[in-house]
Parts: sequence; C-alpha cells; structure tokens
Amino acid sequence: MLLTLFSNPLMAQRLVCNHQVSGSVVDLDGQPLPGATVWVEALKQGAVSEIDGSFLLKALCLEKYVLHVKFVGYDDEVITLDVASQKNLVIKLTPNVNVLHDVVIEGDHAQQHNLSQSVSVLSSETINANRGKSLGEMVAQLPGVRVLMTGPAIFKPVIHGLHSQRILVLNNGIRQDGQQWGIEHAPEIDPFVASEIEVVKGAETVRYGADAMGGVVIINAPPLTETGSIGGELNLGLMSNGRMGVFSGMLEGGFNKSQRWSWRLQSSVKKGGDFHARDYNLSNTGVEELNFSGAIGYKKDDTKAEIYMSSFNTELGILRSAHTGNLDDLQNSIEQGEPWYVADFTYAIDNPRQKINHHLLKVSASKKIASWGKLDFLYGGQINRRKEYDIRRAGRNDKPALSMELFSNVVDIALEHGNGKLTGNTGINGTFKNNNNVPGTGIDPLIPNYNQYTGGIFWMEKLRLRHWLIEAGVRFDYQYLQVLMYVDNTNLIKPEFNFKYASGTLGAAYYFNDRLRLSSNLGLATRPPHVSELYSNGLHHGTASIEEGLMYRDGNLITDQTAIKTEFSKKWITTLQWAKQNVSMEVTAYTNWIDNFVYLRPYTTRLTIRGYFPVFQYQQTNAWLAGSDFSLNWQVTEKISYKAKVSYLYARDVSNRDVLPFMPPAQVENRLSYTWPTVGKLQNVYVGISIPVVLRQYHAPVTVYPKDVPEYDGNKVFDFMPPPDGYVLVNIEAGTNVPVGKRQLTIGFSADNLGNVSYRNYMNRLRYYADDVGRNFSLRLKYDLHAH
Amino acid sequence: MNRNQVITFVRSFILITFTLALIIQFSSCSEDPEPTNEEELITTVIIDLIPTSGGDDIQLKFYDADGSGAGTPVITPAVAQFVSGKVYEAQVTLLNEEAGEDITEEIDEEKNDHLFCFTPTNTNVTIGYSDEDDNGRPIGLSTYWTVGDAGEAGSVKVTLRHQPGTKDGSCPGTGDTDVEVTFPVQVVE
Repeated sequence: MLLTLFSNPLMAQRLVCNHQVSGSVVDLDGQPLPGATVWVEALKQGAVSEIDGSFLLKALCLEKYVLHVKFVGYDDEVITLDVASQKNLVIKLTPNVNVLHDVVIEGDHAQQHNLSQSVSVLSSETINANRGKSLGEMVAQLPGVRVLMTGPAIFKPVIHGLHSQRILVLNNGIRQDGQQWGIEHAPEIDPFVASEIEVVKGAETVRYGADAMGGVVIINAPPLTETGSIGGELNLGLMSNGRMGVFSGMLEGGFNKSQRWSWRLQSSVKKGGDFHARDYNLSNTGVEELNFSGAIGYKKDDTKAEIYMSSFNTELGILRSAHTGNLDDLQNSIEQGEPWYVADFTYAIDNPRQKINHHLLKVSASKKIASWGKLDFLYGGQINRRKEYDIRRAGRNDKPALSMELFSNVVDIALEHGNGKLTGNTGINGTFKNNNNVPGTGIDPLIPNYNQYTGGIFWMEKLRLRHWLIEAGVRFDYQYLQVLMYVDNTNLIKPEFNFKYASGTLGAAYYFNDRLRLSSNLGLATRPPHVSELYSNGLHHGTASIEEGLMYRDGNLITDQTAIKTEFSKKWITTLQWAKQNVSMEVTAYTNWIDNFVYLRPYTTRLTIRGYFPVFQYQQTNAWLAGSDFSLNWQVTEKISYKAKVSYLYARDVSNRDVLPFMPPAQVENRLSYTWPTVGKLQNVYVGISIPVVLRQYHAPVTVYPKDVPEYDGNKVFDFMPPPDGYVLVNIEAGTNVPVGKRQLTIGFSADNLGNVSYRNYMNRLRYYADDVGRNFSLRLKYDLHAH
Repeated sequence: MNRNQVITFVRSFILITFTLALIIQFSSCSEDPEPTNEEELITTVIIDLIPTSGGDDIQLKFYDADGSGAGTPVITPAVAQFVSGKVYEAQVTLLNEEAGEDITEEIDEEKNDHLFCFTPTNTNVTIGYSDEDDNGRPIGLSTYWTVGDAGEAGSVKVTLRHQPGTKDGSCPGTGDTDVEVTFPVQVVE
C-alpha cells in the first residue's frame, strides 16, 4: 500500500516533467490582461501574460501546482492547477482599482464586511513589528482606533469612541464571547494567531448582530497550507520594561503530501514582571500567558472544512496602589501624585489580580453548490472562566472575589449567492449563552447569572457597476434573556426579557478613476442592553464608586421593564481614498447619533460603613459622536517613506447637554523611515522614527475631587481629577531580514518612549494612581521555517 | 455535484454541530444560583467607652445592614456626650450581623496588618493607643480617650486601615480603608 502511494506511480510521473499548460489572464468581462504574472511557487518559475493575455507554462510534471496570479490593480488570485486535466486555463481577475490596492479591501475577506465601510488593516509586517503586545495595543495603531487601558497590561479597543459590548471581536470567524462588559476586561485572544487584523469602523450589525454596533475587529489567521509541506515560524520577543519575554512557535503541514488535509499547531508563552514608569516601579503589574491553538483542514474541489481549537490562559496583576477602600483613599492618591506602594521589581503577581481562561472550539465547512452559491456553516463553542482576586482579610486572598463561567454556543449558516454584478449573502444564526457565578466567593456577584438565546436572520446584496458599488442589507433579531438572582439574599427571582429588534445598512462606493474612490455607508443598528447594564450592582475598587444597573431605582431593584429601551445607533460614515504610485491618502468623516445610549452617570452619594461613595447608575440618553480620521502614506523617494495619521472625536450627551466620559482625545502621529533594499547579505534594512502626539481631552467631564464628592449637588457627569495634559512620545525602530540558508531570520529592534517621558493617559483608568510606562527597549526575532 | 452529495454534506454538518452543541449544553445547564454568604461584610462598628474614674458609660454605634446598598446607616447616639476632664477606656468591636460573625477577631488575628486611626474634629478629645501588635506598633482596638474643655459639638472619625505588609504605625499611612465612620461628639461639663 505504502509502496503504491509513495514510490512507483508518483516517481514515474515526476520523471516526465515536460508538460505544458497554456492559458490566458482576463478581467471579469473577459478582456485580456497583458503583463500579469503567473507564478508556480513549487518550481520557482513563472510566466508573464502576452498582449492577448495568453501565457505558457513549461517543464511541468504531471501533478498539481499552486499558481499565484498577480496583476497590478487586480486582486491576487491563488488557484490550483492539475496538469493532468488542464490544457487551456482561463484565469479571471477581479479589479481592486489599481493603486488603491493597499487601502481598499475587496479580496478574500470581502464577505466579512460591507465594502462601503471604513476599514483599516494591520498588515502582517506591522503585526510582526509589534509582536509581544496585546491585541488591543496592536489595533490602537490604526487611525480612529484607540484603547481603553487599566494599567500597562489591560487594553480594550475603542473604535470611534465606542467599546466593550458595542465592539465585536471576530476571532477566526467566530464572535468572541468573553466577559467584555467590564472596562478592565481585555479581549481574551492571543495575537500570535493573527496574520492580519482588520478593523471595520462602522456598524456591521446586519451581518453580526447587536455587538457589532460600534465596529468589528477581525482577526484573520493565515490560511492553512496548500502545498502539504512542513513549515512554520518561531518568534522571540524581549522587552526591557517589565523584563518581559515572549516566545511563540507555529508548525504546519499536510498529511502524506495530501493536498486535501492540512494542519497547524501553535503556542505562545509570555512572562513579564512589574512595569515601570519614569520615576517608579508600577508594583504588581506582572503578566503571564500560556496559549495553544490547533487546526485541521480539509479541502477538496469546492468543499472546505476546518476544525479549530484554541486555549487562552492568562494571569495578570493590577497595580497594587489602585485598590482603594473609599473616597479618602482616592483623594490621597490624587494628592500624593504617585503610587503609595512601590516595591522592588518582581515577577510575582499578587492581589489584586485576574486569572482568565478562554477555550474555543470552532467547526466550519463550506461548499460551493452549482446553482445556489457558496454555503457556509459555522459552529463555535466557547468557555470563558474569569476570576478576580482582591485584597481581603482573614486568609481570603486565595478566594476569588469574582468568579464567573460563561458558556457560549454560536451556529451560523450563510449562503453567498449570485455572481457577476449582483452578489449577496443571506443566512441565519443562533447563539446560546449561559453565565454562572461560581459559588464560594463570599461576595455578592457583580452581575447575576443569566441565560440568553438570540436568533437572527439577515439578507445583504451588493451590486457592482462600472463605477459604482451599491449595497444594502437588513437583519431581524430576537433575544430571550432570563436572569437568575437573589433579592436581599433570600428571594430567588427570575426576571425575563424579550427583545425584538432590527438593523439595516445602505452603502455605496463610487470609483471616479483608478486613483480616487468615495464610499459612504449608513448603518442603523439596534442593541438591547447587556445584563451588566441591566443588573450590575456593587462597589468598584478601582474608582471608589458604586455602580448600579438600569433595573435599579435609588438603589432598589425594580420589575418594570417598560423603561428599558434598546439602544439605536444611526452612523453615517464617509471615506475618500486617493492614491497614486507613491502616495496614498484617506480621509474619513463620521457622525453617529445613538438614541437610548447606555452609560454610567453619577446620581447620588451614599454613606456606608466605609465612608461616602459616589453612586453611578447606568442611564439612557441621546448621544452624538462625530469625528474624522486622516492618514497619509508617502513614499518620498525609493528609500524614504513618510506616514501621518490624525484622529479626532467629539462626543456629546445631547439630552443632558453634557459631555460623555472616557472619550479619546485627539491624536496626531508622524512616522519617517529609511530603507536600504540590501546591505551586503542583509535585506530590507530599515530605520524609522515615529512621534505620536496626544492632546489633552478638552471635552472632559467637570472635575469633582473625591473630597468634594459628598457635597457635590450638580447633575453633571464628573471625573475625580482634571484630564491629564497632552504628551509627545518619541519611538524609534530598526530591523532587517537575514537569509539563513534557504530560510529567513527577521530581526527588529525598537525603543518606545525613548525620552523616558513621564505622562498620564486620559484613556487609562489607573491615571488617578500612577504615571504611564516609561522607556521600553524591545528586541524581536522571527525565524521562518518555510524554505524560500 | 449532485443533490445527494449536497444533502449528505448538510446532514453530516448538522449532525456534528448538534453533537457538539449538546456536549457543551450538557455541561452548562442553568441551575439556580446559591445565595451568597457575604463574608467580608462589616455591618456594625461599636465603641464602648468606660470612664476610668466612674460615671456613665458611652456606646458609639454605627450600623449599616446592606454594605454598599441603598439602606441608610443608623448612628447612635445622635451626639455622644463626653464629660470634661475624664479619661475613657475604649474598646472597638466590629460585627457582621448578617452572618452573625465577630469581625474583631479577624482584625486581632491580623493585627500586624491593621491599624485604627482616630481623627477628632472641633472637639477637645485626644485619643491614645493602649495596645500594640507583634512589631510594637499600635492597633487601636483598645484606646484611651482624654477629654478636655467643654465646647460645641464636633466629631471623631474612626478609620480602619488595611495595610498588609506595609504597616508602619502612622496614620493614615499606606493601604486601603476597610471602615470609615464618623461619630458626632460633644464635650460637656
């Protein structure tokens, strides 16, 4: 058996490598495309299409090859060529509007979002240059995307001012179902699985449901190998600040040289100790991570199937000084201007700390069905365990103060249909979530147990004309929510909610020519309040505040649901993209009216046995968010390149004539780099400098110092200290590729906050207690195991 | 491809999906939650004061049943009356009346990490420590209150500082606050 598989027939075929395949490259209308490259990766040879689009591949063996077809202005096409059965190959390329290629995304991932949306992509190069950072920190480099921080290790993406349950993170095609409701809960994802990260900055609720109201962070893993040969990569990152080390390894291949089955295994490990600001250690900010993922894929003709599993496990410390008992403690921290607890550097993680495990199982399959289109099935199961440990009395430090388990199931069935000018996507999906507080914390749960069932149905169509692209979509959802909780610790109640809601999108893009594209999208999105917004109840040690949900009035539970409304967002976003050979530019402007916007607002001060506390309640208001992003990429000369980006957001609570808290201030960033294509044996040697400038938040809430809170009788949203001043950082970087035999080693070096500036960031929840991190040197090595 | 293949494909997928969904569903059945035993809660602060040279005892009491909940705390007496010239021996008691626990024992066991601070405002009462921990630093469970001249009503703020590993005996020092209550007091002739 083995003999037949491995030796004779194959070897015999291989010996006769004189086959030829001719073909032609054409556009969607069948017009020939001269000058396109048809590359046979396995043989390291290729052909260029003639004036009539024709090409000829020679010296082929009688087997299957993967062809890469490239032509400027068109999407790259990867196809499998079976020499035995193919004599005249016609390759159709889809235009991507010439030099807009880098900024317009219409390729493989087009089904993941509307094409009229504003989308930014973090390329694999940028991801590689930032290895070791967390997901949130990485995406914050994109224009319009910022990050809400809780110390140096917890980063939540903020898109155009919205975050948490309004942002969907799509991990390998599966919606991430973690405990995203908390501001100090970062996405539970290992960024090493990503080869590319896309951020959609408008509402994508039609495709993904309510969570995508503020945008989507799409994490794309590289496709499984198609060649069947073993490959992989190793990554090592070392950072001086926090004395952190990160290592990751990935291995992939096929089974028995079969082109049908392929697999990938990946793991990463991270360990860091206390970070430091310019003047002191940020004690108890260490982090540990251990992650695994694995995938098995099957591909035959038009059928694809994949099983993907991943496990994310982390433990991280929260700045010791940020644990406050009451307003007096907070007042002291603000007055002192530096953390009261500073100890020598340590890798040890003490309380307060978080311990999180997130496990994912995904099964997906797709099949092209002749007259129907492409049918996609997706199932995702997730288990999220979150434990938070506090500083407690009487040996209770090893008992979590909060312990929750979330089980989530998602089934998604979609049919991509149509071809040519009119294409569409329609489908249904269902989710079931079950969240339990694990008993034994000795503390009343912050949010109650719940069961949540959601069912949705959607329909989207795209029409492509010569200069136009028009798209529209609509979605209907039904959500049943059952909450299980105790009143006064004696009566078990099970309030039920039924939400029915709809979303819609309408968008268009106009291609003036191959250099200019204008796109505009109107997204209407509805989102029922999350359990945390309905039933949160408890003391927040990080901000010395009591937080209460929408279902409380003056601290008491209510049963009347009529006051609860779904959030309704109307976001209109317009993007103008212009590009020529060496310059590309993009301007985005948006305006977002959100009715019944849920947010925390202080409404009273309460005396407890720990002293006075401000009470923040989730309330609904009408909000307006508007802003603009700008980015420029300029290849000044062959070696010098310049990049700039600017983000500005203005946010307002319209009903209360007030500002909205935690909205990112304006930011400008300039980056200049110099590249030598080769220096001796080294390739792609570069040095660069980037200078982010973050302005003060001039539309911050009024300041009421903690000591003044008990006397404060205003009705404005307040903050405990004035917004920090703006700051300027200087970051430098350098890197190169070193050929090592047939393989490649990539070396990168960077210094962030080179001037070791001491600053505080308005978007960091620990700014009441300590400065942000100081200078950090990083060294990154990547060794590619694939032979080149 | 033919119709049968499509049906087989769809069928096998649905089978796999539902098997997996069932497995996960099985492990996550939504049972009723258990009521929480709030261990950390302190509902009551009592300070018993006995004059060393005879006279009326004083009991200061702060009671709040529901932790961070909306219930209004009860402070008694409305204004405690200290007699000018006397010295009172004071003893602090902390209770969790919801669970029927005496928290004072917890504090005493962790005396090296805890410190009571007393802050008189607008009143002639001076408070001194009469206990110490294993490191010779004050705790504040036992104190003596020296009363000076009579005057208007003022207050004494009592704070319990939790300072694991960082206690140096100074007030307020490091750490965070577990208790902060303010008693209205007045010195009378």
